[in-house]
Amino acid sequence: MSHAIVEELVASGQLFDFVSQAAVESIYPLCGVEVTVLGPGPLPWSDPPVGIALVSLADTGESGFQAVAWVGGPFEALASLAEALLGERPAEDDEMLQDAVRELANIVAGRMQERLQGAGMTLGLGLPVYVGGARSLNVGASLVNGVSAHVQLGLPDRPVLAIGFAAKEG
Amino acid sequence: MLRVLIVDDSKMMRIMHARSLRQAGYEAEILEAGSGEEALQLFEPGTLDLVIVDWNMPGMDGVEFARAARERERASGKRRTPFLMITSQSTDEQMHRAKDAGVDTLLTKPVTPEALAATLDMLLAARA
Repeated sequence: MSHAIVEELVASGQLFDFVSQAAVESIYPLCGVEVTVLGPGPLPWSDPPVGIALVSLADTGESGFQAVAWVGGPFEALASLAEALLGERPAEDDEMLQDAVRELANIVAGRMQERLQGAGMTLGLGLPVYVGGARSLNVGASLVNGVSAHVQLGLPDRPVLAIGFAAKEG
Repeated sequence: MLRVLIVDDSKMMRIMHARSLRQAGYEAEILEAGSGEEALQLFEPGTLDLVIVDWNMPGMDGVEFARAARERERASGKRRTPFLMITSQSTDEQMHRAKDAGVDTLLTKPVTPEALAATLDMLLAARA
């Protein structure tokens, strides 16, 4: 049932709208920067970002349905996001950079949870997890249906993030 | 000066909440906990002016912590500490769960500094 709903949302373009709206609604209040949705981007498994934070969403019933929401991008873009939040630029391996990306992914997942509830899916949120470097290559291996939006932040270096949602196999 | 316990597994969010308190004009001694278990060790009934707590944390989550802290508070007979939960969880069922556990106010992320300041004013005025 849930897989069918996601498939329909992808086909109708509504899932992309949900993700785009979730991105805009999450980033502006969190960082105070304007957001421009550039358009659909490749899913993480065909174009892995250098750093990515993932949040699992699972059916609170018995269907076993699972999905994932993510925020990813090159380190420079992620560092710009963290700088907008914290007022100082973290290094690539800084806990604060990972915290910033995890936090944004968590909020995006919450916004998706709310929208999908409106579409008939009741999903619980998991804890955000950050993966970086080569490990991010495997992120999308089990994802079957989803969309990714490329969004640009209104910061001096115009960083672009990939924000998305996809169902997991099974 | 206020005594505020901030409970969040994200160090960045603990820093941001402390900054929001200062920006809202509150001078506060901040106690920090990265989990519900740590928070429970720091929670002494009657000694705090406010608890700001996240929901999703590894181990004991924010709702479990709130429930345990309220039980301890009831047993002690001390005054009720305001609990503000800031979370990404947004379903009605989850909001009811948080309230049942003893959370006074729940804000769904993302929270603007203005909304947070207004909520802090309301909670701290009610305490006074």
